[in-house]
Amino acid sequence: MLELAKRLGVQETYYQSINDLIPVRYGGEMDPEYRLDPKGDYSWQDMIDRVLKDRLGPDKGLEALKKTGLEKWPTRVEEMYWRWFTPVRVPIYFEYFLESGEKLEKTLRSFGREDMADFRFYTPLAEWFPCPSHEEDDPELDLWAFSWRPSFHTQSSTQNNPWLDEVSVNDPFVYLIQINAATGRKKGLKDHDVVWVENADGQKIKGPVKLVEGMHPEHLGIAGCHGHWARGTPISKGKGQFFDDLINPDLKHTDSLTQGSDACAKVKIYKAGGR
Amino acid sequence: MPRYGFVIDLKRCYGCYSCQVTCKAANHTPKGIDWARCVPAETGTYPTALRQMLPLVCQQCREPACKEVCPTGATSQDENGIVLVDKNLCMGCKACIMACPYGARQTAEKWQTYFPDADGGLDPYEAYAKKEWEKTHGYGMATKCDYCKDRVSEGRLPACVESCPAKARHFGDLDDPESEISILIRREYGFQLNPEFGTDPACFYLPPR
Repeated sequence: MLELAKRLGVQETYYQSINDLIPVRYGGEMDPEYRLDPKGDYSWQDMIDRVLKDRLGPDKGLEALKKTGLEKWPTRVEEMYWRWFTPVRVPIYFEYFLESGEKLEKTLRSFGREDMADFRFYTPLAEWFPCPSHEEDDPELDLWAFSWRPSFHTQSSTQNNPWLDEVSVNDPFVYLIQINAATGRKKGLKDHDVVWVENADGQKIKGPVKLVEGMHPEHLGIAGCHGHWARGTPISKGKGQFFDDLINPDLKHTDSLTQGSDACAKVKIYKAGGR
Repeated sequence: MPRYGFVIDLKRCYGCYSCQVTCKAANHTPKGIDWARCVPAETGTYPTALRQMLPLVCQQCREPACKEVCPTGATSQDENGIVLVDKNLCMGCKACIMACPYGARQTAEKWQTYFPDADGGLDPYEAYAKKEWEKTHGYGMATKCDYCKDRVSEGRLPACVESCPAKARHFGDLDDPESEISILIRREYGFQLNPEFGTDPACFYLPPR
């Protein structure tokens, strides 16, 4: 980031934005001694050292932290709930989206790549647009698959924690594909039957099924961010399913405003054999 | 002396398992040993089904079934009503594990690592936890939750109570009618699990929605 800022000639702005951000994020003004000089030239380590000294005291810079490995301090209200103390207006209308959309369209047209974004999304008011799963009319694809989040996992970074994995293994829902009990029975499924879940493009994931009452009859619930496969993930490897395998990483399934992937997929399920 | 007790609010527990994991960290329990367990279940049918957690700890019964069956006197109660196991007297017969109607007792036959395929043996944390576990409990003997009595004696809360982000767990003196838990039990219809067992647990639950 620092290298890029330097090469783009925006290093001064970048330093200033750090100076502005620290008081907002952690509360209280920065000591002038530790503020970054916009004309200066800092390494990432220099910057961390300055922020640590500013926040924790002159004897608690990066070198001190390297020795102790841990620093504790009583959290202030301003630090914990910093958004409350930030004097900003939260926009309700996104009128600038109109202009952004027009600019983007003009730019992409100049490259002959207007196919790279869907300009309908640039509306000043929040609006719902159907994702491709809502337009899928193949009667075989009779379920909507969604991912859900166990409250004890964070993004995809905690699945390899052995204690949380132990909890996940013992929880009857986390590593299993959940389907409404009545729907499952109609399909001849029982708890722990291994099924394939397949989307419109033939992409599929496999796992044991769990019949539950707390699920809409046309939905399928899969805990997100599981199904790790890398060698360096000995705890989480091969557990749960990787929901995103059901979402194609292409423009059709991506919101061009936020770059977010679709949240659901129209799927069919069938027994894979085994339990 | 206070009689320590728990109140667990089933309305507030949303199944984050903080209690279970914090207990492991505070008590260095090995893999597979959970003194603060959460049992998830569903009640009702679609579209009015609910997912409900049942957090379990040792119920610290006034009339503990585990104490009654202990042939060596290893199980005792302290002045605060906490049921304790003396590892030097326990011979590992496991009669208490079978007798406890709440499944609160567990035993570790050996230290099981979370990383069986790792090179170089246990990592520093597991090595430390193993040493602590062997010092305080060891293998083959009955082990159980003691409401973090060491922390409580220092004026702190049991680890699971402190870590509960939903504030679903409360700890205090059952014999003090003005304590927070006594008021909660009176005001919110606190109940014991399976009172028909006749063990008079010190752990009360507030009803789910």
